[in-house]
Amino acid sequence: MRLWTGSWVVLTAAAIAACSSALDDSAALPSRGSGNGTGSNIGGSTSQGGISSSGGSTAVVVPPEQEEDQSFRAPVVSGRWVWTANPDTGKVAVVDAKNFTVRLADAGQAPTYLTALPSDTNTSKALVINSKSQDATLLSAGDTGDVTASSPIPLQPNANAWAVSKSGHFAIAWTDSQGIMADPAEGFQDISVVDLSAATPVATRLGVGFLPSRVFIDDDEQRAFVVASTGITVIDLSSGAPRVLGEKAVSSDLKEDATTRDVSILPDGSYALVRHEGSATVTLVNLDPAQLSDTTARTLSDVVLPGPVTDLDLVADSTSALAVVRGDTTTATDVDAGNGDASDSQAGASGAGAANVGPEPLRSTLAILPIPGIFSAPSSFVSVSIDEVFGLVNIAPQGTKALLYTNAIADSHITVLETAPDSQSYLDHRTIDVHGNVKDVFPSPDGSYAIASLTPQTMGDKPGFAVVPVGAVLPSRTQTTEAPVFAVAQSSTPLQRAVITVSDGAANFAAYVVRMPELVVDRVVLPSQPLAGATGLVPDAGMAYIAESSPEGRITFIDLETGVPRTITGFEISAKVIDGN
Amino acid sequence: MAIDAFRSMRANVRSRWAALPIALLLLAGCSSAASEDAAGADVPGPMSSGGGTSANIGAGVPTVGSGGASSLPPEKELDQTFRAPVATGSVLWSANPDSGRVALIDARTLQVRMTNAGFGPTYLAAVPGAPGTDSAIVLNVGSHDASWLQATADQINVTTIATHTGANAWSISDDGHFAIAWTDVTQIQGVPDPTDGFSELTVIDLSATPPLSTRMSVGFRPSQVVFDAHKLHAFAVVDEGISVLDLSGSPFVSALISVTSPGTAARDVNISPDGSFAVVRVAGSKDIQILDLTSSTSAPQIVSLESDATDLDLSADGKTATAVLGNETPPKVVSFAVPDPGDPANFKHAAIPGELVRSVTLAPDNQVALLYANAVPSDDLTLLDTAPAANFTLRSVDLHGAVQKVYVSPDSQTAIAFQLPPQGSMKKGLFSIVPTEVVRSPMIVPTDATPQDIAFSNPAVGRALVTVHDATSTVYGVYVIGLANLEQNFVTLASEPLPGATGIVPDVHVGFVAQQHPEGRITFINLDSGVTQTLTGFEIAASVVQ
Repeated sequence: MRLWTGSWVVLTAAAIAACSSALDDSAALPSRGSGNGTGSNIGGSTSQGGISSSGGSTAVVVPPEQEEDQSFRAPVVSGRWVWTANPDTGKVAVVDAKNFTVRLADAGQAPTYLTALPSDTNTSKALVINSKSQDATLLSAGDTGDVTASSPIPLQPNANAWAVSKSGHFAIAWTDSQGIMADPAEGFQDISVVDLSAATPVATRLGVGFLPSRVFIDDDEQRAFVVASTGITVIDLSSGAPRVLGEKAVSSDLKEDATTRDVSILPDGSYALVRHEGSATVTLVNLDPAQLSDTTARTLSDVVLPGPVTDLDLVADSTSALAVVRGDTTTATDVDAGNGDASDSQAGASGAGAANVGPEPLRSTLAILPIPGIFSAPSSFVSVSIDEVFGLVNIAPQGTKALLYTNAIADSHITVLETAPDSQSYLDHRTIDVHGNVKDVFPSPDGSYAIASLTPQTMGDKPGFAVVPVGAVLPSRTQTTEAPVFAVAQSSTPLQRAVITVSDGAANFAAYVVRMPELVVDRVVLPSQPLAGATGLVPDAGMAYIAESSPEGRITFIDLETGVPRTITGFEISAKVIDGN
Repeated sequence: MAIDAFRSMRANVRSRWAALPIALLLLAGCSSAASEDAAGADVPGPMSSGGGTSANIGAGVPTVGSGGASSLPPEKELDQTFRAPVATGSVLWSANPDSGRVALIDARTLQVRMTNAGFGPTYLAAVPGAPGTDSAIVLNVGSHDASWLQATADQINVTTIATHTGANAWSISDDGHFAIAWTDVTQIQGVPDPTDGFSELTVIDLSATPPLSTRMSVGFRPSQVVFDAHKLHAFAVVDEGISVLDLSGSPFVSALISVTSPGTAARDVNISPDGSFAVVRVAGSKDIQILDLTSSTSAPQIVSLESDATDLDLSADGKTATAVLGNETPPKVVSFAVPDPGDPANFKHAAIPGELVRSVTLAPDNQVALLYANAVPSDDLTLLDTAPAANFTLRSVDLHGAVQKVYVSPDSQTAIAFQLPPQGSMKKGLFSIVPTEVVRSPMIVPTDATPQDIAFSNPAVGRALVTVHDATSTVYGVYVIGLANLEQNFVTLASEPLPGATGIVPDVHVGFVAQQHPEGRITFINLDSGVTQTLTGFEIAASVVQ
């Protein structure tokens, strides 16, 4: 999983199409039975069985793990306000989630892609890309009064995504080509760095790498990084007008398919780690500006793991990176001492051992790469091999427990493993059966719970989700739903809540509000189809919101304390309608 | 005079036209178009040659015909032909072969002054001159002479100078002392008769009053004419070898230095900037010849390489030759000192594994060599660090389209590659902006018409223009490129750009693109602000600024 710069409070699951696709895929996948009960501690080298293969090295071709990305075309939250744009009318609405008042502002032509900006408690700011006028508008709202809109901020053509720095000093408009039917020669290499610190925002156009896939600004707002198919473009933000310092390659293969790699940049911008699909190596990239123009320093170092790395994730405090090597029947993974529990080895290029010893139990490996130590000693890290199939890892922003699962095959298990070296339960793990095939797992911000979206285990079953206590060994709850999970939003403070939106894209739409620690679930019927990426929380107002499809705009708010919903319809034409349902 | 506006350094094409602040003619299609334009000179023009010498013409305010009687048929816009303008200082010169007039346009104010040249003024060149005077010279293809135009703030002085018949190219010494009119066979429309050697050229001493014109025969089909550093000699590369022109007194051909070239094998002659030697590559041969141009009797030095060189380039300072051994596996690059190569053990070598490399373009500062192939489709450009301390380290960049041509900015910091769109693309063209010294991703720019012309500003301005157009498209435009941030903005043009008519007016940070229009049309682009202004119809004094 990637370390996104956006808030972890809101986690959005698959868009409808992606859901359907994944469901279809899973139906054809080899399945792994459940039936192991909940909260079972599974370890050692004992095979769990259940893989529909005869073992050996040729039985099953397991597809890659799938990660879901978030749509940017959705309302955003700043303070207690929800901003939403209507490309058709050129209007941007700001809704106060406490009293549901609606104010409108004019933006440019076809305001489409919104981002919230950090602001003080009594004001709210947002930026919107006006896709037809190729500019942006800075919007600001206070408790009362009109919404102010800046003069147009010129942008490059085709901008459709934002990256915002921690304090809101800089915002970068860029083009995410995912989902764009683009000419193969089109690289979307223009970005606009907008300096928001001045009274009048100043935009600087820069050329970056081919097909940017992610833009990241370091915590100190000194540099920005653009992950592209050609490498990582490094931008200096610290000395006057933004400028490109250089680019670091992330692969020694000039023609490597960039869509098959996964680049994680440390929050301080010092290093990046790169996973290459199907490869057992994790590439370490030094982003020191002094070395950017030194071609001789471009030699990349690698961490070698015992098998192809299927996921790579940074622990939020950046003390370590987690690399997953999924066990499958084509690769006999590490056979450690077989001592039954987590096999902890000081692995390295040879330490993990890749000896093929014929059909072996399906053991997956989690390697914990210490940061910054791994960059000076790439062969020094801890790995844990477990008799489970997992290919993905998620970890909460404030958590230390890794959530391990797979969606490449039908599997109902989630393994929870402690990654903090100073914890008494370091490397302890347990596996939970959630009674449905896991599609994705979303940790709560504090890491104490997780929501797993589930697909049916057999034809005719319903989809659903599971609520998994992560911080304590307690039973999980599985909830069947009338439609696949569409989006997930969670809060930890002041209330521990989760809101799960389900949609089949046709007629069944609902939101489920989960109260923790009771794990009580309430269902709220939605009047219309939720929009992709448009489920979120307004923590300052104690509300969840779900934006829905409606020609005049529709948002359903759900009080996280009471569970009472309110739907506002028609705010685009200032005809505010509030109804409780 | 300011002729620093542009420069793509493709050393093995050393036409002196490339020393003018105009855009290059590119690709075969371009040459073809230029030839077709030349045919336009055959259309009888309304003006006589007016061959008087030194006609003083005041600040011209062109007159507008009265016309207007309702019984008269509608006015017809004649399909006049304008050749590529040239810029000097803050002005732009533009010739009209049909009317016999030359327009002088102030790029700051767009004020137009007109003057008469000879019959069919066609091929313009800037002439370095005294401060306060803008100077250009134009070949009048109908009257077989040249008009030397010297403009001050309030007048344009025109001097007519006899030339040989069929001249279509200029080589101008960098001090403005000499201008040599010659005939470039590649600019001749159609296939010339095999016996037609275009051997004559005309040396004009512009320092004399009146200018002295000397015709002479230099050899079969000159392909380039260059001067030595002291302007004591000029060299004409001809089929037989290199003819040496003595300019110290009355010009004459003092020697012919032969070049060994088996059969009809193509040659690539690189003459050093000071004119003391030439480095010659012959296609299919592994031997590189180094010719002493100061002595017609000296035997050439031979540098034998591992295999035949598919390309060779001479550094701008004339101290290093770099050859590509493109038929090796993997391809290799060899660099050696010239004119004294020394011990071959001291040659610098680099192998380029995994890449298809057959051509080389050296940056003006000789710190980087750009390696590519255009005979076969190859998307990659390899940058070889040729700085003395760099030990020939290299890196390759994927430009996402087959490379056709590579140009380097005057400060060597940026290259621009013209390419073919990748397979599956619906685009008509493609070019890439490639930082050469900073390790940074190239900017790939797909285009809706074919990139044809390029012009670089001086480094302080840091801009370039790339003009796109082709005969099959109605999309005409020019990309204004910021070389520092790789920003590129497209400016739509009202009509099709003329081949080779994109350039920079250096003193005022203004770019220009001359376009097809019966009465003349030039779009001016402020390189600082990006503001464009189009001047249309300046030939009939109806200066329309849009």
